[in-house]
Amino acid sequence: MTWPKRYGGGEQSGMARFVVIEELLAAGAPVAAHWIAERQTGPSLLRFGSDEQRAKFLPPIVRGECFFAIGMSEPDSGSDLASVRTVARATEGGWIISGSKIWTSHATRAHFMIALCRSSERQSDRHSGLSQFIIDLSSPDVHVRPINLMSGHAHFAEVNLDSVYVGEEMLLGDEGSGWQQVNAELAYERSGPERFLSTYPLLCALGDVLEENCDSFADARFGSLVANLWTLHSMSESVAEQLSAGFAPQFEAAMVKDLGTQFENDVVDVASALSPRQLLEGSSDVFTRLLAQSVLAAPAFTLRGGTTEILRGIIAKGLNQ
Amino acid sequence: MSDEQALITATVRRILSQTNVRSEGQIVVEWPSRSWRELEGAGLTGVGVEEARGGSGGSFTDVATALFEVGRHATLVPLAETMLAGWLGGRSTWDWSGGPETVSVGDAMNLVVRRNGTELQLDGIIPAVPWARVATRILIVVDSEIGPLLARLEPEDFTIEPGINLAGEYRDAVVLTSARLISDRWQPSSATTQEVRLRGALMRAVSAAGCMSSILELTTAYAHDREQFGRPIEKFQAIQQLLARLAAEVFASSICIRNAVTFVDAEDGALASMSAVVRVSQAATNVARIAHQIHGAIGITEEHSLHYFTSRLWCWRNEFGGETEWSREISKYVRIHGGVNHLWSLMTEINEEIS
Ligand SMILES: Cc1cc2nc3c(=O)[nH]c(=O)nc-3n(C[C@H](O)[C@H](O)[C@H](O)COP(=O)(O)OP(=O)(O)OC[C@H]3O[C@@H](n4cnc5c(N)ncnc54)[C@H](O)[C@@H]3O)c2cc1C
Repeated sequence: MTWPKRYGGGEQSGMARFVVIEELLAAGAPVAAHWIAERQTGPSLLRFGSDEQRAKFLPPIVRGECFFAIGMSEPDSGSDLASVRTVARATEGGWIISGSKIWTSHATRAHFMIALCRSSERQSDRHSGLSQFIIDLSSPDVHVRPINLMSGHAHFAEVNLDSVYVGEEMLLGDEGSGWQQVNAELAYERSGPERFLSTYPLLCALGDVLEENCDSFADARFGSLVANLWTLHSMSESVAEQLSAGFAPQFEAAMVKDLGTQFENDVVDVASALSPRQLLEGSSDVFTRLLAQSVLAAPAFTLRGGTTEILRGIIAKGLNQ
Repeated sequence: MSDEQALITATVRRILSQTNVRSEGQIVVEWPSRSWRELEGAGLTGVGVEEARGGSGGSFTDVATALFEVGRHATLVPLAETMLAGWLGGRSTWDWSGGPETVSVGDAMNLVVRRNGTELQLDGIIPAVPWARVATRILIVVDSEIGPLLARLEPEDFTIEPGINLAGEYRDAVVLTSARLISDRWQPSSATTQEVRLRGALMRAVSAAGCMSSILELTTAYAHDREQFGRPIEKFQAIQQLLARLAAEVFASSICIRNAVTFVDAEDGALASMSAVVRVSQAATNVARIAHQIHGAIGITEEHSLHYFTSRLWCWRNEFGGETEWSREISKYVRIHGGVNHLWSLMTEINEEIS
């Protein structure tokens, strides 16, 4: 919506986009495949990408034909992202990339992945020498192994990069600026309404259930959830306003994600306490089905996109500055 | 722990560590499972059932000892159900079938009970009956105008709508269409529906405490082994705080379980049981949340064993009435027993009787 018209965008404001994605999420629309490309790849390409990269990728993203995955985490690098071991070695006309990425959401469906790699030896500043590359996931040296969640769904995957050749035109931004670029991306990843609306459909279903069967205790707990929802919506909106005005409010974004993901969990706990159900798989009752799904999904809320503990560290550092 | 309980613990551990089946795919092809056959062979499925009725005898503490291990190994066996039925059947004039048996508390919303002379007719759907499809009989307790009734259903009396919970355990709907039970298949129940639910809830809480002890082990080991930022994550204060909260929840659960198990048949034991059920149910939520948080992304995968334990906590915390229902019952209980002014003596006098 916000991207330049020459790439097929609508040149609308960040706030207009905020309103639309909030509505999509509140309605429980199926948006996952396209989500990452629209939320963070596009803005990254616009900010750091070459003209050639923008012309190549943005129009198909806009048309909903091109999906991206995020290649940050590795088996030994989770919270400590700067320790990534995937290496990019310069070669004739491009780079050879070797290593392994994990927890890569939707890698089995995505067409490309932006991988954070070490492109020069580690110096005393561990944040230098990192670069981002756009990798074609259909290349024969890329091996994608789906990983099943405890729900049995293959949400994410392990992506092995076995000496994958990428042309030099696939380096995103400057060589050695990977760390700064990744952090800019994370501000988009952390503050959006997807960080407090994951369980909103369950909250609505709970409201319906309570309508038939409520008491003062249930009213009090439901009301307190609503108050929190309203607060988070306002907080997320204010971060969107700042992003839209060109600021990078990373502390505020961390606070929205921290409180937002706690809230998402609270909805599950309160729903489960106020209207306890046997958690049957594939129940035909909407509330039971949403509750069972949310119970299984909830542990991920406070992990993905930066864990609670890491976010609180960021917030605390922000207080010191 | 007495010698008897140490022996039960050792036997169940030995059997389950060799035969344990946890995921639902495997039991569909194999019933009775190896775990069940071996528990049966060792006489453990009849613990708590009087020897005169064909059981192995033993106290509720013995029952709890076995159920704790079932939780600790996250095993898929209808042991709690069989033991609950064994206890309920022990208050009737019927023999014990040898199991697996299961129990359900019928409520007026789902189940219509009519009496025709000496015959009882049942109509309705009882949702989510644990292990119904493999049970040799289902004992139903239901309120009626002449007080609580105990009915014995055998497989030809009902049809099953299969259901499965998030932990892979059978939770089948039992459909009764004009099921007629002749007079030796039902009788007045000496246990109320409330007493049966409370005992069921307490048994689940005991197994949940077993799950939690495994979760604590898995999580402290993981925090020790996993390194980020060049050191084990257990060195970070944020993780130490989580581990401390986790340990405290597990400890609180084990203490209130111990209390409740001790007083389960005491005249004023209900408050201890209800308190344990509520507290363990809260702990289940907290323990699952913290353990997943510390495990990071690997903990939510199918491959890792954490979910066998956490999915049981999520399912069990609400069975036979969960936190909210039993919290309300506690308030009622206190009101009936002299109100808040007597609360302190309700909690303390029962302890004095025993010690
Ligand atoms: C559903 C889901 C989707 C994901 N999708 C993607 C994706 O598309 N692409 C991608 O690259 N990654 C993805 N991830 C990975 C995610 O970014 C990581 O899970 C996250 O960064 C944490 O890393 P980890 O799981 O290795 O946990 P670890 O970093 O090993 O952390 C384990 C525990 O230690 C704590 N910890 C670690 N360091 C510290 C510290 N310094 N102080 C205090 N506590 C600390 C953590 O908070 C956590 O509780 C996804 C994760 C999930 C759950």
